[in-house]
Amino acid sequence: MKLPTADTINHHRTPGGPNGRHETDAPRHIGIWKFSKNAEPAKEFIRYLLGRPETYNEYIMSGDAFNLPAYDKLQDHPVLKTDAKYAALKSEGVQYHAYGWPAPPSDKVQLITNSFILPIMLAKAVTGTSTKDAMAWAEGEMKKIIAG
Amino acid sequence: MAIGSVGVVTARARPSLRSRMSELLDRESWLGPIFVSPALVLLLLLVAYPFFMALYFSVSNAFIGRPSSFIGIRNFVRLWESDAFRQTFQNAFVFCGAAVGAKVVLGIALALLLNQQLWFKRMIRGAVLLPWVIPTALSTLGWSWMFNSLYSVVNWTGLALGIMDPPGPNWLGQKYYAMTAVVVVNIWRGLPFFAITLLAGLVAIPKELYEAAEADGAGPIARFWYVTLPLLKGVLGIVVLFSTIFTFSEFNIVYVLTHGGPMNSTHLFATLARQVGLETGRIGEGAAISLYLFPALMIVVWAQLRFVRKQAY
Repeated sequence: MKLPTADTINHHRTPGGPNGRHETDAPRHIGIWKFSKNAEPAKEFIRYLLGRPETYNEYIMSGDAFNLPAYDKLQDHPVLKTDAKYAALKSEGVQYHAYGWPAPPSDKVQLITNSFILPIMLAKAVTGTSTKDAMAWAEGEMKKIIAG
Repeated sequence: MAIGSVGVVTARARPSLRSRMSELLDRESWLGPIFVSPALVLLLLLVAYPFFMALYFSVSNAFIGRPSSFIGIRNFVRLWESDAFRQTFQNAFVFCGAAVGAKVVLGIALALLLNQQLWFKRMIRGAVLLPWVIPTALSTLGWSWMFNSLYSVVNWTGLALGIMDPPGPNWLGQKYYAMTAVVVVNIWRGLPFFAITLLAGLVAIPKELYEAAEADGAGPIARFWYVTLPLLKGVLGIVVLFSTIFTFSEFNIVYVLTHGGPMNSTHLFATLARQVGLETGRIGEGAAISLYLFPALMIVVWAQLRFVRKQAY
């Protein structure tokens, strides 16, 4: 059932700044345990799912763009034409960065993400703390984590 | 011909396995350890082993999937530099102080009420235990609906009674309201434990003491102050001790209602330890967070047990 709210909401891209637009996403990985008894069939399944364009396309189409990876080459994927509201996702892959960019991904970056430092910075800025102080707080917290 | 004495050996029947077993089980030196050993094995596996692992992790740089090394108390020192941890430390004392304080006052009041001659006394006593019996995660889900920013029945009632301005407080989205919400739910859940345990203490107070006090002209407040409260001190001490430990280590209510937010304002040691230790994989730091108050709590336990013993003898 389509709710009335659906007509009044939409997707939007992360706002751009003076240094361009920078977006991130939660990358998903598929792995096989070293101790797996069925490593070969598992590899075969991954090759089947991700290695053949027709299977992979079906996988993305059946997920209604939810499974669309942020790859440059997939920014014109047919799934984005299935709903007008997917238009905002079109160039998503171009400015995509992993968490912590330009630093390499690490447990420190993960701690910064999981500690919600950026959302808290924004929450501070809209609940009485000046924007400058909120940014200085977030910078300080991140520096402490990176130094540790 | 000398006739030597001939010993007659009579074959004694070898006792059956069953009788030997029952003989062994009759000995206290065997029976005691047999009864205790299952509990001991469980304690060793589920309490002692994880506890000593946590102690080791807290002084190491353990990270999931990587070899770890000993780093002393560096985790404990570094934690204090984190704003989130200092906030958590403060939250834990505010949460525990407010919740345990309210549970003591309301628990005594409820126990006194339940000690009166009421209709359907047994049913009421059973019903009072419900919040304690229901799985916390489930009952807290109900509370999360009641505090929902759009569908809050609390706000609906407040608006209907005219004591709130629309749209009403955002219970889980603003820091002071969120702390109030988690404290309220903790009181709601922990109150039966206080009430029922204190009720058991109240029932044990001899009626003659009240009669003697009444004969000496003591009113209800004097009777409560000079008879009930001094005789409840022992039970109250134990209940406060248990509740302080449980409340400091609270996890379910905060995790289900707020995940520690907004802005870390409701994080407690257990929820922050989960965030750092499990979600981020920094097991060493996570263990240090959960063990931070262990020495202080040990002292509290020791002092309180000493107090209770003094009351008892």
